[in-house]
Amino acid sequence: MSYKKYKFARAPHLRHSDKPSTMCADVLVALTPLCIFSAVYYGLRPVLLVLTGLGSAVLCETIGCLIMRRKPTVPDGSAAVTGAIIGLLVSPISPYWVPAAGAAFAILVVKMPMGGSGRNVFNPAAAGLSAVTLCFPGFFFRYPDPGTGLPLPLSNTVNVAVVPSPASQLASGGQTLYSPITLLLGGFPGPIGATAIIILIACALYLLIRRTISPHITLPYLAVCAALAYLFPRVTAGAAGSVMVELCSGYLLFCGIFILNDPVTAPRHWLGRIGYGVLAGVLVMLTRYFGRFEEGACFAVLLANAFATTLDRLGWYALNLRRIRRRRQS
Amino acid sequence: MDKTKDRPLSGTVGEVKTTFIDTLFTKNIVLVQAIGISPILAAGVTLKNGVVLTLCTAAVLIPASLFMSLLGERLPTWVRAPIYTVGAAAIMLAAAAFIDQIISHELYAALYVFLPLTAVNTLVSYRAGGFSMSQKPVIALTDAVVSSLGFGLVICIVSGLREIAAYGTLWEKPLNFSVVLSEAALPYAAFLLLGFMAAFLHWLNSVIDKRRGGPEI
Repeated sequence: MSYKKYKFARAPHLRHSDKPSTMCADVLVALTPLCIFSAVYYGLRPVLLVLTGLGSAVLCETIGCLIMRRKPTVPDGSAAVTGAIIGLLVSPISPYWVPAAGAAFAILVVKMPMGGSGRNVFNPAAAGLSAVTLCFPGFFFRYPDPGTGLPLPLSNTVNVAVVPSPASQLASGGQTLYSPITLLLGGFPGPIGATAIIILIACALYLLIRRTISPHITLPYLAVCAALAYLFPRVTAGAAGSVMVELCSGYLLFCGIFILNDPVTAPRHWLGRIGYGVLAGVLVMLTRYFGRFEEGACFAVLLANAFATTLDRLGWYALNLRRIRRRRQS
Repeated sequence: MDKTKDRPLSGTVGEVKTTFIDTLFTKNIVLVQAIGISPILAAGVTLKNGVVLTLCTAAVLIPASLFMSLLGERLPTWVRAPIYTVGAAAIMLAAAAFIDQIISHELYAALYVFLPLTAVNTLVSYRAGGFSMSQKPVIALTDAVVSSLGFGLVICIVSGLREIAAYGTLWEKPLNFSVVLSEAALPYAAFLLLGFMAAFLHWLNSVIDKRRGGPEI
Protein backbone atom coordinates (compact mmCIF):
# COMPACT_ATOMS: atom_id res chain seq x y z
CA MET A 1 0.00 0.00 0.00
CA SER A 2 1.37 3.38 -0.88
CA TYR A 3 1.44 5.95 1.87
CA LYS A 4 1.73 8.72 -0.65
CA LYS A 5 -1.98 9.23 -0.94
CA TYR A 6 -2.22 10.11 2.76
CA LYS A 7 -1.67 13.63 3.93
CA PHE A 8 0.79 13.89 6.80
CA ALA A 9 0.21 16.59 9.38
CA ARG A 10 1.70 17.56 12.68
CA ALA A 11 -0.21 17.51 15.96
CA PRO A 12 -2.54 19.02 17.14
CA HIS A 13 -4.94 17.02 14.97
CA LEU A 14 -8.06 19.13 15.08
CA ARG A 15 -11.41 17.93 13.88
CA HIS A 16 -13.13 21.26 13.59
CA SER A 17 -12.16 24.32 11.67
CA ASP A 18 -9.99 25.83 14.41
CA LYS A 19 -6.33 26.48 13.79
CA PRO A 20 -3.64 25.98 16.46
CA SER A 21 -3.27 29.74 16.69
CA THR A 22 -6.96 30.26 17.58
CA MET A 23 -6.73 27.56 20.26
CA CYS A 24 -3.68 29.17 21.79
CA ALA A 25 -5.37 32.57 21.60
CA ASP A 26 -8.33 31.07 23.50
CA VAL A 27 -6.05 29.76 26.21
CA LEU A 28 -4.22 33.09 26.48
CA VAL A 29 -7.58 34.88 26.77
CA ALA A 30 -8.55 32.46 29.56
CA LEU A 31 -5.25 33.04 31.35
CA THR A 32 -5.63 36.84 31.36
CA PRO A 33 -8.28 37.09 34.15
CA LEU A 34 -6.09 34.91 36.39
CA CYS A 35 -3.28 37.38 35.87
CA ILE A 36 -5.53 40.35 36.63
CA PHE A 37 -6.89 38.61 39.75
CA SER A 38 -3.37 38.09 41.01
CA ALA A 39 -2.51 41.73 40.33
CA VAL A 40 -5.40 42.79 42.59
CA TYR A 41 -3.85 40.90 45.52
CA TYR A 42 -0.13 41.32 44.94
CA GLY A 43 0.32 44.38 42.70
CA LEU A 44 2.20 44.44 39.43
CA ARG A 45 4.89 41.84 40.29
CA PRO A 46 2.95 38.67 39.30
CA VAL A 47 2.04 40.23 35.94
CA LEU A 48 5.71 40.96 35.30
CA LEU A 49 6.61 37.37 36.30
CA VAL A 50 4.09 35.97 33.81
CA LEU A 51 5.35 38.30 31.09
CA THR A 52 8.95 37.26 31.87
CA GLY A 53 8.02 33.59 31.40
CA LEU A 54 6.12 34.38 28.20
CA GLY A 55 8.90 36.54 26.78
CA SER A 56 11.56 33.98 27.62
CA ALA A 57 9.58 31.18 25.93
CA VAL A 58 8.98 33.23 22.77
CA LEU A 59 12.63 34.31 22.63
CA CYS A 60 13.85 30.72 23.06
CA GLU A 61 11.43 29.46 20.40
CA THR A 62 12.75 32.09 17.97
CA ILE A 63 16.35 31.12 18.74
CA GLY A 64 15.50 27.42 18.37
CA CYS A 65 13.83 27.99 15.00
CA LEU A 66 16.82 30.03 13.82
CA ILE A 67 19.24 27.28 14.87
CA MET A 68 17.11 24.63 13.15
CA ARG A 69 16.76 26.89 10.10
CA ARG A 70 12.99 26.54 10.16
CA LYS A 71 10.22 29.01 9.60
CA PRO A 72 9.52 30.56 13.03
CA THR A 73 6.64 28.82 14.80
CA VAL A 74 6.11 31.68 17.23
CA PRO A 75 2.89 32.94 15.54
CA ASP A 76 1.04 29.70 16.38
CA GLY A 77 1.17 30.83 20.01
CA SER A 78 2.15 27.53 21.62
CA ALA A 79 5.38 28.96 23.01
CA ALA A 80 3.52 31.93 24.47
CA VAL A 81 1.05 29.58 26.20
CA THR A 82 3.90 27.48 27.61
CA GLY A 83 5.70 30.54 28.96
CA ALA A 84 2.52 32.03 30.41
CA ILE A 85 1.58 28.76 32.16
CA ILE A 86 5.04 28.52 33.74
CA GLY A 87 4.83 32.18 34.79
CA LEU A 88 1.39 31.60 36.35
CA LEU A 89 2.51 28.63 38.43
CA VAL A 90 5.51 30.16 40.19
CA SER A 91 5.26 31.92 43.52
CA PRO A 92 4.49 35.68 43.45
CA ILE A 93 7.73 36.34 45.35
CA SER A 94 10.01 34.16 43.23
CA PRO A 95 12.86 35.95 41.43
CA TYR A 96 12.27 36.88 37.79
CA TRP A 97 14.83 34.39 36.53
CA VAL A 98 12.80 31.41 37.84
CA PRO A 99 9.99 31.56 35.21
CA ALA A 100 12.57 32.64 32.61
CA ALA A 101 14.73 29.58 33.36
CA GLY A 102 11.69 27.28 33.41
CA ALA A 103 10.46 28.57 30.05
CA ALA A 104 13.94 28.32 28.54
CA PHE A 105 14.25 24.71 29.72
CA ALA A 106 10.77 23.91 28.40
CA ILE A 107 11.48 25.24 24.92
CA LEU A 108 15.20 24.56 24.44
CA VAL A 109 15.41 21.14 26.12
CA VAL A 110 11.94 19.62 25.87
CA LYS A 111 10.27 21.12 22.82
CA MET A 112 12.78 22.09 20.14
CA PRO A 113 15.05 18.99 20.27
CA MET A 114 11.96 16.83 19.70
CA GLY A 115 11.26 18.73 16.50
CA GLY A 116 9.47 21.87 17.66
CA SER A 117 5.80 22.76 17.65
CA GLY A 118 3.47 19.77 17.43
CA ARG A 119 6.17 17.11 17.66
CA ASN A 120 7.00 17.18 21.37
CA VAL A 121 6.23 14.02 23.37
CA PHE A 122 6.15 15.68 26.77
CA ASN A 123 4.29 18.78 27.77
CA PRO A 124 6.89 21.59 27.72
CA ALA A 125 5.20 23.62 30.46
CA ALA A 126 5.05 20.64 32.85
CA ALA A 127 8.66 19.73 32.08
CA GLY A 128 9.87 23.32 32.60
CA LEU A 129 8.02 23.49 35.91
CA SER A 130 9.42 20.12 37.00
CA ALA A 131 12.94 21.28 36.20
CA VAL A 132 12.69 24.50 38.21
CA THR A 133 10.86 22.70 41.04
CA LEU A 134 13.64 20.12 41.29
CA CYS A 135 16.50 22.58 40.90
CA PHE A 136 15.25 25.46 43.01
CA PRO A 137 12.71 24.11 45.53
CA GLY A 138 13.71 26.93 47.89
CA PHE A 139 12.25 29.54 45.54
CA PHE A 140 9.26 27.54 44.55
CA PHE A 141 7.05 26.73 47.50
CA ARG A 142 7.37 30.03 49.41
CA TYR A 143 4.16 31.99 49.16
CA PRO A 144 3.32 35.47 50.56
CA ASP A 145 0.13 36.23 52.47
CA PRO A 146 -2.49 37.66 50.08
CA GLY A 147 -4.48 39.15 52.96
CA THR A 148 -2.14 42.06 53.69
CA GLY A 149 -3.63 44.24 50.96
CA LEU A 150 -0.21 45.69 50.13
CA PRO A 151 1.40 45.29 46.69
CA LEU A 152 4.63 43.28 46.67
CA PRO A 153 7.89 45.16 46.05
CA LEU A 154 8.90 44.87 42.40
CA SER A 155 12.58 44.18 42.93
CA ASN A 156 13.68 42.70 46.25
CA THR A 157 11.32 40.26 47.99
CA VAL A 158 13.68 38.83 50.62
CA ASN A 159 11.88 40.63 53.44
CA VAL A 160 8.35 39.58 52.44
CA ALA A 161 6.75 37.39 55.11
CA VAL A 162 6.05 33.81 54.01
CA VAL A 163 2.97 31.89 55.16
CA PRO A 164 2.21 28.18 54.76
CA SER A 165 -0.07 27.36 51.83
CA PRO A 166 -2.97 24.86 52.16
CA ALA A 167 -0.95 22.34 50.14
CA SER A 168 1.98 22.52 52.55
CA GLN A 169 -0.41 22.24 55.52
CA LEU A 170 -1.82 19.09 53.91
CA ALA A 171 1.66 17.70 53.26
CA SER A 172 2.80 18.30 56.82
CA GLY A 173 -0.38 16.70 58.16
CA GLY A 174 -1.63 19.82 59.90
CA GLN A 175 -5.13 21.23 60.10
CA THR A 176 -5.87 23.65 57.26
CA LEU A 177 -6.84 27.12 58.38
CA TYR A 178 -8.81 28.17 55.32
CA SER A 179 -12.59 27.99 55.08
CA PRO A 180 -14.28 26.63 51.92
CA ILE A 181 -15.44 30.16 50.99
CA THR A 182 -11.88 31.52 51.22
CA LEU A 183 -10.68 28.61 49.14
CA LEU A 184 -13.27 29.29 46.44
CA LEU A 185 -12.58 33.02 46.35
CA GLY A 186 -8.83 32.51 46.15
CA GLY A 187 -7.73 34.51 49.20
CA PHE A 188 -5.10 31.97 50.22
CA PRO A 189 -1.36 31.71 49.55
CA GLY A 190 -0.40 29.78 46.45
CA PRO A 191 0.98 30.08 42.92
CA ILE A 192 0.11 33.27 40.98
CA GLY A 193 -2.65 31.90 38.77
CA ALA A 194 -3.83 28.78 40.58
CA THR A 195 -5.60 30.21 43.62
CA ALA A 196 -8.61 31.89 41.98
CA ILE A 197 -10.79 28.77 41.97
CA ILE A 198 -14.01 30.44 40.78
CA ILE A 199 -12.19 32.19 37.93
CA LEU A 200 -10.51 28.90 37.02
CA ILE A 201 -13.90 27.20 36.81
CA ALA A 202 -15.21 30.05 34.63
CA CYS A 203 -12.13 29.71 32.39
CA ALA A 204 -12.76 25.97 32.12
CA LEU A 205 -16.37 26.58 31.06
CA TYR A 206 -15.28 29.14 28.46
CA LEU A 207 -12.69 26.76 27.03
CA LEU A 208 -15.18 23.85 27.08
CA ILE A 209 -17.71 25.90 25.12
CA ARG A 210 -15.00 26.92 22.66
CA ARG A 211 -14.08 23.21 22.43
CA THR A 212 -10.47 24.06 23.21
CA ILE A 213 -10.38 21.64 26.14
CA SER A 214 -11.96 18.24 26.30
CA PRO A 215 -14.36 17.14 29.08
CA HIS A 216 -13.09 13.59 28.52
CA ILE A 217 -9.79 14.50 30.18
CA THR A 218 -10.67 17.11 32.78
CA LEU A 219 -13.78 15.51 34.29
CA PRO A 220 -12.33 11.99 34.93
CA TYR A 221 -9.17 13.64 36.24
CA LEU A 222 -11.05 15.75 38.78
CA ALA A 223 -13.38 12.86 39.66
CA VAL A 224 -10.46 10.56 40.45
CA CYS A 225 -8.69 13.25 42.48
CA ALA A 226 -11.89 13.92 44.43
CA ALA A 227 -12.53 10.20 44.99
CA LEU A 228 -9.00 9.61 46.27
CA ALA A 229 -9.21 12.70 48.51
CA TYR A 230 -12.56 11.40 49.85
CA LEU A 231 -11.25 7.89 50.49
CA PHE A 232 -7.90 8.86 51.99
CA PRO A 233 -8.37 12.23 53.73
CA ARG A 234 -5.28 13.96 55.07
CA VAL A 235 -7.21 16.51 57.14
CA THR A 236 -9.17 16.06 60.33
CA ALA A 237 -12.13 18.04 58.93
CA GLY A 238 -13.67 14.92 57.40
CA ALA A 239 -13.96 13.50 53.94
CA ALA A 240 -15.90 16.37 52.33
CA GLY A 241 -13.47 18.94 53.72
CA SER A 242 -10.60 16.87 52.40
CA VAL A 243 -12.05 16.89 48.87
CA MET A 244 -12.46 20.68 49.00
CA VAL A 245 -8.94 21.41 50.25
CA GLU A 246 -7.20 18.86 48.01
CA LEU A 247 -8.92 20.13 44.85
CA CYS A 248 -8.38 23.81 45.62
CA SER A 249 -4.83 23.74 46.96
CA GLY A 250 -1.65 23.68 44.91
CA TYR A 251 -2.20 23.78 41.16
CA LEU A 252 -4.21 20.59 40.74
CA LEU A 253 -7.21 22.32 39.14
CA PHE A 254 -5.06 24.58 36.95
CA CYS A 255 -3.15 21.53 35.76
CA GLY A 256 -6.36 19.68 34.88
CA ILE A 257 -7.66 22.59 32.82
CA PHE A 258 -4.60 24.00 31.06
CA ILE A 259 -1.74 21.51 31.11
CA LEU A 260 -3.45 18.13 30.71
CA ASN A 261 -5.52 19.37 27.78
CA ASP A 262 -2.52 20.23 25.63
CA PRO A 263 -3.73 18.91 22.24
CA VAL A 264 -0.21 17.83 21.21
CA THR A 265 0.63 15.54 24.13
CA ALA A 266 -2.83 14.25 25.13
CA PRO A 267 -4.41 11.19 23.46
CA ARG A 268 -6.86 11.83 20.59
CA HIS A 269 -9.28 8.98 21.16
CA TRP A 270 -12.09 9.71 23.61
CA LEU A 271 -11.64 6.47 25.57
CA GLY A 272 -7.89 7.00 25.64
CA ARG A 273 -8.54 10.51 26.95
CA ILE A 274 -10.65 9.17 29.79
CA GLY A 275 -7.89 6.71 30.69
CA TYR A 276 -5.37 9.55 30.46
CA GLY A 277 -7.41 11.70 32.87
CA VAL A 278 -7.82 8.83 35.32
CA LEU A 279 -4.11 7.96 35.16
CA ALA A 280 -3.09 11.59 35.66
CA GLY A 281 -5.50 11.94 38.61
CA VAL A 282 -4.10 8.84 40.34
CA LEU A 283 -0.51 9.98 39.72
CA VAL A 284 -1.19 13.52 40.99
CA MET A 285 -2.64 12.21 44.24
CA LEU A 286 0.20 9.69 44.62
CA THR A 287 2.85 12.38 44.16
CA ARG A 288 1.01 14.49 46.73
CA TYR A 289 0.71 11.68 49.27
CA PHE A 290 4.18 10.20 48.90
CA GLY A 291 6.18 12.81 46.98
CA ARG A 292 9.02 14.96 48.19
CA PHE A 293 7.20 18.21 47.44
CA GLU A 294 3.81 19.56 48.50
CA GLU A 295 2.65 19.63 44.87
CA GLY A 296 3.80 17.27 42.15
CA ALA A 297 1.14 17.66 39.47
CA CYS A 298 3.76 18.56 36.84
CA PHE A 299 5.64 15.30 37.45
CA ALA A 300 2.38 13.38 37.22
CA VAL A 301 1.58 15.03 33.87
CA LEU A 302 5.00 14.06 32.50
CA LEU A 303 4.45 10.44 33.56
CA ALA A 304 0.97 10.42 32.03
CA ASN A 305 2.37 11.93 28.78
CA ALA A 306 4.60 8.90 28.41
CA PHE A 307 1.48 6.70 28.25
CA ALA A 308 -0.56 8.92 25.91
CA THR A 309 0.11 6.96 22.71
CA THR A 310 -0.42 3.61 24.44
CA LEU A 311 -3.72 4.81 25.90
CA ASP A 312 -4.80 6.01 22.47
CA ARG A 313 -4.21 2.56 20.99
CA LEU A 314 -5.76 0.79 23.99
CA GLY A 315 -8.89 2.92 23.68
CA TRP A 316 -9.21 2.03 20.01
CA TYR A 317 -8.63 -1.68 20.68
CA ALA A 318 -11.17 -1.74 23.52
CA LEU A 319 -13.86 -0.37 21.20
CA ASN A 320 -12.96 -2.55 18.23
CA LEU A 321 -12.33 -5.78 20.12
CA ARG A 322 -15.26 -7.61 18.55
CA ARG A 323 -14.29 -6.61 15.03
CA ILE A 324 -10.65 -7.60 15.60
CA ARG A 325 -11.70 -11.00 16.98
CA ARG A 326 -14.03 -11.64 14.06
CA ARG A 327 -11.28 -10.82 11.58
CA ARG A 328 -8.87 -13.15 13.37
CA GLN A 329 -11.37 -15.99 13.28
CA SER A 330 -12.01 -15.58 9.57
CA MET B 1 18.37 -9.60 12.01
CA ASP B 2 21.79 -11.09 11.64
CA LYS B 3 24.09 -8.67 13.39
CA THR B 4 27.26 -10.49 12.39
CA LYS B 5 26.59 -10.30 8.68
CA ASP B 6 28.23 -6.95 8.02
CA ARG B 7 31.11 -7.58 10.43
CA PRO B 8 34.65 -8.25 9.24
CA LEU B 9 35.69 -11.85 9.73
CA SER B 10 39.47 -11.72 9.27
CA GLY B 11 41.94 -9.78 11.33
CA THR B 12 43.61 -7.46 8.81
CA VAL B 13 44.59 -3.97 9.83
CA GLY B 14 41.85 -2.38 7.78
CA GLU B 15 39.16 -4.47 9.42
CA VAL B 16 40.49 -3.88 12.91
CA LYS B 17 40.31 -0.16 12.07
CA THR B 18 36.73 -0.52 10.81
CA THR B 19 35.73 -2.35 14.00
CA PHE B 20 37.43 0.35 16.03
CA ILE B 21 35.62 3.26 14.39
CA ASP B 22 32.34 1.33 14.16
CA THR B 23 32.23 0.38 17.81
CA LEU B 24 33.53 3.67 19.19
CA PHE B 25 31.55 6.16 17.12
CA THR B 26 29.18 4.92 14.43
CA LYS B 27 27.60 2.27 16.65
CA ASN B 28 28.63 3.57 20.06
CA ILE B 29 27.59 1.01 22.64
CA VAL B 30 25.77 3.49 24.89
CA LEU B 31 24.62 6.27 22.61
CA VAL B 32 23.49 4.28 19.57
CA GLN B 33 22.81 0.79 20.90
CA ALA B 34 21.53 2.06 24.30
CA ILE B 35 23.31 -0.65 26.27
CA GLY B 36 24.79 -0.26 29.75
CA ILE B 37 22.87 2.88 30.63
CA SER B 38 21.97 1.97 34.22
CA PRO B 39 25.42 2.44 35.84
CA ILE B 40 25.74 5.80 34.05
CA LEU B 41 22.42 7.02 35.44
CA ALA B 42 22.87 5.81 38.97
CA ALA B 43 26.59 5.70 39.71
CA GLY B 44 28.06 8.09 37.13
CA VAL B 45 27.91 11.04 39.48
CA THR B 46 31.62 11.75 39.93
CA LEU B 47 34.46 11.35 37.46
CA LYS B 48 36.25 8.93 39.80
CA ASN B 49 33.23 6.60 39.82
CA GLY B 50 33.14 6.83 36.03
CA VAL B 51 36.77 5.85 35.60
CA VAL B 52 36.49 2.97 38.10
CA LEU B 53 33.38 1.62 36.38
CA THR B 54 35.12 1.87 33.00
CA LEU B 55 38.13 -0.08 34.27
CA CYS B 56 35.85 -2.71 35.83
CA THR B 57 33.89 -3.07 32.61
CA ALA B 58 37.11 -3.48 30.64
CA ALA B 59 38.43 -6.00 33.17
CA VAL B 60 35.30 -8.10 32.73
CA LEU B 61 34.64 -7.62 29.03
CA ILE B 62 38.11 -8.25 27.58
CA PRO B 63 38.67 -11.75 29.07
CA ALA B 64 35.04 -12.71 28.46
CA SER B 65 35.16 -11.66 24.78
CA LEU B 66 38.51 -13.32 24.21
CA PHE B 67 37.34 -16.52 25.85
CA MET B 68 34.11 -16.63 23.88
CA SER B 69 35.83 -16.02 20.53
CA LEU B 70 38.41 -18.75 21.27
CA LEU B 71 36.22 -21.42 22.78
CA GLY B 72 32.65 -20.19 22.44
CA GLU B 73 31.63 -22.17 19.37
CA ARG B 74 32.96 -25.43 20.77
CA LEU B 75 30.73 -25.17 23.82
CA PRO B 76 27.06 -26.14 23.74
CA THR B 77 24.71 -23.14 23.60
CA TRP B 78 23.16 -23.66 27.01
CA VAL B 79 26.48 -23.57 28.82
CA ARG B 80 27.90 -20.42 27.18
CA ALA B 81 25.97 -17.80 29.11
CA PRO B 82 26.54 -19.37 32.56
CA ILE B 83 30.27 -19.70 31.86
CA TYR B 84 30.93 -16.09 30.91
CA THR B 85 28.60 -14.80 33.63
CA VAL B 86 30.30 -16.85 36.34
CA GLY B 87 33.71 -15.86 34.98
CA ALA B 88 32.72 -12.20 34.93
CA ALA B 89 31.35 -12.47 38.47
CA ALA B 90 34.61 -14.03 39.68
CA ILE B 91 36.64 -11.20 38.13
CA MET B 92 34.28 -8.62 39.63
CA LEU B 93 34.56 -10.22 43.07
CA ALA B 94 38.31 -9.86 42.93
CA ALA B 95 38.06 -6.30 41.60
CA ALA B 96 35.58 -5.31 44.32
CA ALA B 97 37.80 -6.77 47.04
CA PHE B 98 40.79 -4.95 45.52
CA ILE B 99 38.96 -1.61 45.50
CA ASP B 100 37.62 -2.10 49.03
CA GLN B 101 40.87 -3.24 50.66
CA ILE B 102 43.59 -1.49 48.71
CA ILE B 103 42.24 1.61 46.96
CA SER B 104 39.64 3.15 49.25
CA HIS B 105 36.69 1.98 51.25
CA GLU B 106 34.76 5.19 50.51
CA LEU B 107 34.96 4.57 46.78
CA TYR B 108 33.73 1.02 47.31
CA ALA B 109 30.89 2.29 49.50
CA ALA B 110 29.94 4.90 46.87
CA LEU B 111 29.76 2.33 44.09
CA TYR B 112 28.42 -0.44 46.34
CA VAL B 113 25.85 -2.35 44.30
CA PHE B 114 27.03 -1.15 40.89
CA LEU B 115 30.34 -3.00 41.02
CA PRO B 116 28.83 -6.51 41.15
CA LEU B 117 26.17 -5.39 38.66
CA THR B 118 28.92 -4.73 36.10
CA ALA B 119 29.40 -8.50 35.83
CA VAL B 120 25.82 -9.03 34.64
CA ASN B 121 25.66 -5.83 32.60
CA THR B 122 23.94 -6.35 29.25
CA LEU B 123 27.11 -4.89 27.76
CA VAL B 124 29.01 -8.07 28.67
CA SER B 125 26.39 -10.51 27.50
CA TYR B 126 25.80 -8.58 24.28
CA ARG B 127 29.41 -8.09 23.24
CA ALA B 128 30.93 -11.29 24.66
CA GLY B 129 27.98 -13.61 24.16
CA GLY B 130 26.70 -12.13 20.91
CA PHE B 131 29.35 -10.40 18.87
CA SER B 132 32.58 -12.19 19.84
CA MET B 133 31.23 -15.69 19.18
CA SER B 134 31.72 -15.70 15.43
CA GLN B 135 34.77 -13.43 15.34
CA LYS B 136 38.48 -13.97 15.18
CA PRO B 137 40.23 -13.35 18.51
CA VAL B 138 41.92 -10.17 17.25
CA ILE B 139 38.62 -8.64 16.17
CA ALA B 140 36.90 -9.77 19.38
CA LEU B 141 39.70 -8.27 21.45
CA THR B 142 39.56 -4.98 19.53
CA ASP B 143 35.80 -4.90 19.95
CA ALA B 144 36.02 -5.57 23.69
CA VAL B 145 38.66 -2.88 24.21
CA VAL B 146 36.81 -0.34 22.08
CA SER B 147 33.43 -1.19 23.63
CA SER B 148 34.92 -0.48 27.05
CA LEU B 149 36.47 2.66 25.64
CA GLY B 150 33.16 3.80 24.13
CA PHE B 151 31.36 3.11 27.38
CA GLY B 152 34.15 4.85 29.28
CA LEU B 153 34.08 7.89 27.03
CA VAL B 154 30.35 8.38 27.59
CA ILE B 155 30.36 7.68 31.34
CA CYS B 156 33.38 9.95 31.87
CA ILE B 157 31.80 12.85 29.97
CA VAL B 158 28.47 12.41 31.77
CA SER B 159 29.94 11.88 35.23
CA GLY B 160 32.47 14.68 34.80
CA LEU B 161 29.78 17.17 33.77
CA ARG B 162 27.51 15.98 36.58
CA GLU B 163 30.30 16.30 39.14
CA ILE B 164 31.03 19.85 38.00
CA ALA B 165 27.35 20.79 38.11
CA ALA B 166 26.37 19.00 41.30
CA TYR B 167 29.40 19.46 43.55
CA GLY B 168 31.50 22.10 41.80
CA THR B 169 34.49 19.77 41.73
CA LEU B 170 36.33 17.66 39.14
CA TRP B 171 38.21 14.56 40.31
CA GLU B 172 37.51 15.86 43.85
CA LYS B 173 39.38 19.09 43.15
CA PRO B 174 37.26 22.21 43.82
CA LEU B 175 36.71 24.45 40.81
CA ASN B 176 35.44 27.44 42.84
CA PHE B 177 32.04 27.73 41.21
CA SER B 178 29.51 29.97 42.86
CA VAL B 179 26.49 28.23 41.31
CA VAL B 180 26.05 24.60 42.30
CA LEU B 181 23.10 22.64 40.95
CA SER B 182 22.85 19.72 43.35
CA GLU B 183 19.99 18.18 41.36
CA ALA B 184 22.37 17.28 38.53
CA ALA B 185 23.20 14.17 40.58
CA LEU B 186 19.65 12.87 40.00
CA PRO B 187 19.20 10.28 37.23
CA TYR B 188 17.09 12.60 35.08
CA ALA B 189 20.07 14.87 34.45
CA ALA B 190 22.02 11.90 33.08
CA PHE B 191 19.07 10.95 30.86
CA LEU B 192 19.00 14.47 29.44
CA LEU B 193 22.77 14.50 28.85
CA LEU B 194 22.66 11.07 27.19
CA GLY B 195 19.78 12.16 24.98
CA PHE B 196 21.65 15.24 23.79
CA MET B 197 24.87 13.28 23.28
CA ALA B 198 23.02 10.61 21.29
CA ALA B 199 21.39 13.29 19.13
CA PHE B 200 24.76 14.96 18.57
CA LEU B 201 26.39 11.67 17.56
CA HIS B 202 23.50 10.91 15.21
CA TRP B 203 23.90 14.32 13.59
CA LEU B 204 27.67 13.83 13.32
CA ASN B 205 27.21 10.42 11.69
CA SER B 206 24.68 11.78 9.21
CA VAL B 207 27.02 14.64 8.29
CA ILE B 208 29.91 12.20 7.75
CA ASP B 209 27.68 9.91 5.69
CA LYS B 210 26.56 12.83 3.56
CA ARG B 211 30.17 13.86 2.92
CA ARG B 212 30.97 10.34 1.84
CA GLY B 213 28.03 10.47 -0.51
CA GLY B 214 26.11 7.70 1.22
CA PRO B 215 22.40 7.73 1.96
CA GLU B 216 21.18 10.14 4.60
CA ILE B 217 20.24 8.47 7.89
